This record gives sequence, structure tokens and C-alpha cells, in this order.
Amino acid sequence: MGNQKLFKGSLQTIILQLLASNEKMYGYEITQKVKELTKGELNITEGALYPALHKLEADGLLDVEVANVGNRLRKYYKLTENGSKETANKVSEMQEFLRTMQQLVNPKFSLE
Amino acid sequence: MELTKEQIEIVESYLQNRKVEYLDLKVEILDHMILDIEQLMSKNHSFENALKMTTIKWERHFTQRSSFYFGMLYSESKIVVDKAVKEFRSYYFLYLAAYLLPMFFLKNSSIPFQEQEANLINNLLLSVTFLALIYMIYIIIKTQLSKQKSTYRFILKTQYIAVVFLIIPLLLGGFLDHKGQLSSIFMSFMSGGVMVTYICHHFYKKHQAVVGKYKIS
Repeated sequence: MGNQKLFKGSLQTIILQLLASNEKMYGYEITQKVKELTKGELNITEGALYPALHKLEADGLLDVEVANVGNRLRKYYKLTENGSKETANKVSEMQEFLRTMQQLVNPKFSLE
Repeated sequence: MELTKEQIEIVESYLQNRKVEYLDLKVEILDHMILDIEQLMSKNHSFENALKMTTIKWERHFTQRSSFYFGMLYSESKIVVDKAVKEFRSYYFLYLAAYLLPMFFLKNSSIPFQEQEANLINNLLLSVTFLALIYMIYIIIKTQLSKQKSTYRFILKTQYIAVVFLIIPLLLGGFLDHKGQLSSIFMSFMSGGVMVTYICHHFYKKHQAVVGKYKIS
């Protein structure tokens, strides 16, 4: 999709928000959930997903849990306490950004 | 459609050939690739075809590269180095500060010591350096003996060279220059060496945590 670049800067917020509503998720599941929620509009590649997940993990916002699923291991990501607080901040920043963009792009129409 | 044990082994051996052996990455990449292949097979692709399509997609993440943060001697798959840099970057600047600040401070100021005080401080610093060296050697032996690899073990491997900072002042007998004052160079060596010991301690604990988490298989 042509607007992938616009989504790129919001990837961490998208991941945090998904984990806030789903408790724990694995990489592939995140890509599929995003595809489903955006009706195929946003396709997160593994090249974008894993660096973002690893950054959030390194920053202490995500914790990892490993579980046996049939014939292999699966790595799940979940929010830490700091991660939950940061999600609220990032989502609120995102909403503020969207309001500002809306005013710039279409001043007659407001989200509020 | 679920992959058979034999098909999963084929995917695993592909990752092994690409040197993706680090536990914390291998598990999630293998899982993702298997799910990619299963999805393609559910659209009537053969296993061989689906494997080919999936490996083409992942191949660029497995090219060998090195990083400024670890030095050109240490190269690994792009996905490993990228993760290691994210974990290590802030510690790199901590290490630089520990190395450069004593040099800057002692070059621009002189702290006069009586002979007895100087000897006491020298002995204290030698003890700290000796203990840090012993702990570094312990970490090196423990991680080398560990059969499991993690991104943190890769980071540790790149830091072992810093034991030289601890060995030099010990070999030369102390931290005092010919005037009996603290040597800025040796103090920087000690400070940098002790900081690297702390950094290695941090990543050694993380490596142990990863090995513990993935033991459930």
C-alpha cells in the first residue's frame, strides 16, 4: 500500500495498543491481527515488526514468555508495568497528533 | 495445514545454515517461518514451493554484517546485530564516559597526596581492579562453557577484550605516576575496565535469563 510510510512511525504505538487489548501475542499473530483490523490496508513485514519488538523489549516496555505449542516453542510478548503506562502516553500522543493533522488537512471537519 | 516433524527439521536446518543459532531469535523466526509456510500451503502451494517463497522473503535478514558498536571483527546475521545494537547502544556511551571522564578530570586538575595516602589509594584501586578481573574471567569461562547461544552472549563475546584494561595496571603495579600522583591513563583504564565488568555482569544475567526461559522444551 502507498501509505505504509505513514504507518511506519506509529508501529510501536500499534504494537503496544494491541498488546494492551490482547494480554500476550506472538510475532506472526501481531501481523495477522493488524492485517485483519485494517482490512488488509496495513501489512507489517517481519523486517519492520521484529526490530520494533526488540526495541520495545530493550526499553523494558515488553516482557517475553515462552510456551510449548505442539511440536515447537513459541515466543509471546506482553506488556510490562512500564509498558502499560507508556501505552497510555503513546495512544494519547497519537490521538493528539491525529486531531492536529485533521485540523491541517480538513479544517472544517473536527474529530471532536 | 500443519507441517510435519520432518518439514520443520528442514526449516530448522535452513536457519542453522544461515547461522541463526541464537535462542531468543531462532525460536520466533522459526515459528514465524513455519506459520508463513503453512499459510502458503493452505493456498495449495507445495511444501517445497512455500519454503522457497518464505526463504526468499527472509534471506535479507540473514546477511552477515558488523557494527561500529562492536567492531569490525565481530560479524553476525543482520537481525542478530540489529537486536544486539538496540540492547547495547546506551551501555556503549556509559563505557565511553567511564573511560574518558577520569582522563579529562585528572589531566585538568591535580590532587596532591601524601605518600601514605597515595599508597593506600593505590592498594584500594588495585584490589578493586583485581576483583573485577577475577569476575570478568569467571563470566568468560561460564559463557564459553554454556552450550546455548543468545544475543546477549554475542554482546559479551565482543567485550572480553576489555580485560586488557584491568590487566595493564595490575601488571605495572599500580595507578601512581613517577611523581606519586594518580595517573590519568591508568585511572581511565581502571574506570573503563570496571564499567565493562558491570556491563558484562548485566548481559551475563540476561543471557542466563534467556537460557532459563527456553529450557521448557
